[in-house]
Amino acid sequence: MAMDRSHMALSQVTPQVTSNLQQQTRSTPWLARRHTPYTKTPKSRRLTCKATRRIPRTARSRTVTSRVNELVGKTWRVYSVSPLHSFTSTRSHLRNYSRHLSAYLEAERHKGGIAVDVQSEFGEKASFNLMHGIALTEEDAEAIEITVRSRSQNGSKDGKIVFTGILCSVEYDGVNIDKENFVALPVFLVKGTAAVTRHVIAWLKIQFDCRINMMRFPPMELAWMVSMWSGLISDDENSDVAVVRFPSLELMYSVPEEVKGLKSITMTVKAGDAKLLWDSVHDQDSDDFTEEEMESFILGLEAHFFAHFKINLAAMTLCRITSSAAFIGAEGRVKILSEKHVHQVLRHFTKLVTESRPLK
Amino acid sequence: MTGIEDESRQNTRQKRKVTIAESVSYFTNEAAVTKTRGNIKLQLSLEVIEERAKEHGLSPNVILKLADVAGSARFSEAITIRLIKSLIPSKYIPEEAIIHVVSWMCTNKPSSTVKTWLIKWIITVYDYIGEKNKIHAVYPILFLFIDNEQMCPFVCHLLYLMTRKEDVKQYRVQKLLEIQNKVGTQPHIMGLLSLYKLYSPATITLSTAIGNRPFFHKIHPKWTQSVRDIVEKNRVNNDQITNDMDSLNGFPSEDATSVPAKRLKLDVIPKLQTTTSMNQQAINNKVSMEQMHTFKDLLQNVDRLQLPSQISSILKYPKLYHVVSCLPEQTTHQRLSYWLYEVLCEEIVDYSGIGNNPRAEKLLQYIINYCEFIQEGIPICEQFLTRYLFTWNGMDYRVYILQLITRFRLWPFQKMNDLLLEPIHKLFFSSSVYFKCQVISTYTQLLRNFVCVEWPRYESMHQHRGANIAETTMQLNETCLFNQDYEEFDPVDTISQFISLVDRLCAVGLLTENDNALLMHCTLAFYELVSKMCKFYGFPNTLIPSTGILLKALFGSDASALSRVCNIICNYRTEIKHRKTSDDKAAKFKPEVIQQLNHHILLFSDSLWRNQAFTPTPSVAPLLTFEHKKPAEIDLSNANDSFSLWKHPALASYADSFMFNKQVTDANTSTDRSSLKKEYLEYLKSQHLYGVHWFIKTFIKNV
Repeated sequence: MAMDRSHMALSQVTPQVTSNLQQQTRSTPWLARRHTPYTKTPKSRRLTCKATRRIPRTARSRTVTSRVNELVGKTWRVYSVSPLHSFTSTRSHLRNYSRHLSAYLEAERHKGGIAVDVQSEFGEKASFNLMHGIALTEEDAEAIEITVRSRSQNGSKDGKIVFTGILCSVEYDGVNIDKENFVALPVFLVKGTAAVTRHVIAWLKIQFDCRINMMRFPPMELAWMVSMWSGLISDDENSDVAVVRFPSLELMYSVPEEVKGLKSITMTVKAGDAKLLWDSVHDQDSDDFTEEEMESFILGLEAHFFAHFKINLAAMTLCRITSSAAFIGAEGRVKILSEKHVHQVLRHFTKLVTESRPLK
Repeated sequence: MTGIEDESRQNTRQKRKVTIAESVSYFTNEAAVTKTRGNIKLQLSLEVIEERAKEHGLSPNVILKLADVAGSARFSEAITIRLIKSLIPSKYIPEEAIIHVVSWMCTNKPSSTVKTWLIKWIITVYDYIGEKNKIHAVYPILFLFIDNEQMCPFVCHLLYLMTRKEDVKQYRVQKLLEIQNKVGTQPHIMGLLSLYKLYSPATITLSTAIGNRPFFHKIHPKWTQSVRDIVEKNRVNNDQITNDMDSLNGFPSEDATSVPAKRLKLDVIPKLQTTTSMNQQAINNKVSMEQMHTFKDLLQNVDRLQLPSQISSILKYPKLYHVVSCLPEQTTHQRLSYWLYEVLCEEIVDYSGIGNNPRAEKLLQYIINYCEFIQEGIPICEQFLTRYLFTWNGMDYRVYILQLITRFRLWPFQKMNDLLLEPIHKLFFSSSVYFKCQVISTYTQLLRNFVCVEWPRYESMHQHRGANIAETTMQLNETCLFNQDYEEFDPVDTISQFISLVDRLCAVGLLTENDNALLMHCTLAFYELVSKMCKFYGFPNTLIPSTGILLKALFGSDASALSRVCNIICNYRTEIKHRKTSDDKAAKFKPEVIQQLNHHILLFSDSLWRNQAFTPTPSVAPLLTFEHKKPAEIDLSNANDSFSLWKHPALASYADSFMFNKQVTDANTSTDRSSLKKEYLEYLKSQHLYGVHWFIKTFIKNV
């Protein structure tokens, strides 16, 4: 744990590493198959969203304000959601869902089993609301916010919020789903107590016949994200003053169990330095970030670390990353760090969910 | 009570004389003495009735009279309760009896205890009430008794039996919730409420924690049992089974709640339940699937069934497959597909334990059952499998996976090869002989599925391709449940390529496994199917086994394999004849196939019958020659006849026992060689080597 942090100047290391890597990839033997069973990790990924700001759909929505900033700075658990059956986001339906979920939570709160009348008033109050500003394209369904307040105490009108969940979709480009009967909101951000979360998820599963699973990010996906998002500092802000505002790039590796006395290694790189490395691997004119670029970036960082500490990070498991865009943990925890990157992060999650599903 | 019993024992002789009619009339007589103590007549009458009830049950008429007496509670409480207990029907309970009893309950005459006993009695005999139309009118009256603490559990139970959809009213729900608030959660109230929820899901929400407890106590199991026994006994005696008990198997019966909690946890498939957030009016005419208990229910309500909120829950109930498979909407199948893919990934790919996940095994079994029922593979499972096969170790879930493979759809060959066959072949060549056998058997079934189900399905899809879109989708639904992308390819080519691939696979497999007998039989089973495909399924292309496989069977030491391979050759002959007679122009053999087959036939008859296995017949090019220099020390002078019927290593033991028997039975008669040969052939047939017999009969003229 003592070897935690090292700040570095990277420019000398990188070119050499890049050339090595290119040789390696060329020699990779590919099977002469025309069909592959799985969706391979794509060769490249888009860095930014295609649509910038969505055109309001209805006349009313001119008055609504974007609530994107509410997602920033909170730690969420990410779940993937299969298409919701017979979900309607009209106001009356949402009110109806709120009432039913409240009744369900009330019934579940009593361990011995209890029946609850849907029409009555409840201690725990759930509410479904539209969350504007998250959906970008016409393909995206408007995001839904679910909040649960605990029973009011001390006579105050509203209790504490014990659960917040946001069902959302950003630049959904998965397979065509039957829009009359299904709504695709593949990403579910959740923040709340364990019991309520469990009950809300169980209710959603029953009500909309869907599956909800916790998303986990394998090291490869973390590597993708950290390398993609390291360069997302716009150039005009890249002066010395501006860079300070951005959090440093941080990669945490967990150490195999055989190594005694050391659990994890954290490498921290200044955002500006990371940006320099990023610029040297990435083709400036392209909006896509390729697999080679990603590998060069990570190998560059790991080679630097090896040069200093003689520790081969590639043998460890990458388990948590922090970039200027977001903090991501392998176990599915996410904290989006700036409002600018909310869409990028959510778009990437949407993509990850749809990539894993070959559904027609 | 002991005093009374003593008295009764003394009066046994008298008792015999008292008839049941007299006993009943004693009770019904308004003027009869009602005091208990010392009243011998009362005791005698009651005992006669009890005895009669226990042995034969009481006739409807008697029940009606006595129920009235019991309801009026004219006699003491103990007597009344004994009377109620003996109200066991011989066949059925008249409806009026119940109505009278409920009417009496509304008066002040019977005590609470008696009222409770009356309710218990109604619950016990509920299934044997003749008609149930009128008694439903007393439902609101019975509901009033719910306030009585003593009676409440039993009233709830009775109401649970009686409730119909129209009985579920908001004020009743309110009343029950009120009681719940007063006395806390009680299983009987939960039971009634859960039924209300079933009929009207939008009104109430129940905690899921109540799943595994029984709502109601069993009322006097002995009493219930004796009622059932007597009614059943009488029914059998009268030889009239009025109510054919439909098998509950495959239906969501109420007993589902009695599954132990431990087993529920193992189950990945959700509980069958219908919840809805729709308003009451929209679902008023709908009936949920939980209410289906018999096939009759299903037929009567098939047009207004409401699907469960989690469609996957039907996987557990085979009878409900009928409903799902006849629904025209794609939505249902899509819901199932989404769910299946997620769960399969979760339980199989993401499973972190070692070995097979029991939950996944169960799920796979359900999927297989469903596929077998609909006679069709589920596309989403195929997609999952192709993904999973790529990393499959050949061990986990083997039975299930191979079983699922047998239901695969037809794909263009390249796609099928890349996604399905290749991953299996990698395992095939590196696994034990048993795995090889399993794979070949799987392929045999897959081929049957191709030619019998998938090929006709593809053809009909192809035909409807030209029709307009709306019609096409309708037609598609007729041919398959799951929507699929139509791909233009030649299905015959796919199947032909598949067969020749399996052929090569078998040949190599037999080589590496030293002609393992089991593998040989799996191979022959595959060809038994191939050799009949034209006649049975009208498949236009026929492929014959490669020479290697045929020779291994011909020169092997396994008599049954020899018989089977002869059989297969004969099958091919029937195929060719069938084709010649059929008008189908496309269904013609290629000349080279016929030529090759002729070679095989010649070779077989040369070695088996004409003792010249290795002497080339002048008219055809030899299939077998010793091209290589043979080592000098091997003597091949007898090679030609060493594979004849008499000397064939596979048949040697048969020849031996035949000759032995022959000498024993008729030692003196000297028969000529040809008739002996015929006799020997018959003997082989009697030993179940039909193939050999058939082959010789077919291809050798003089036999």
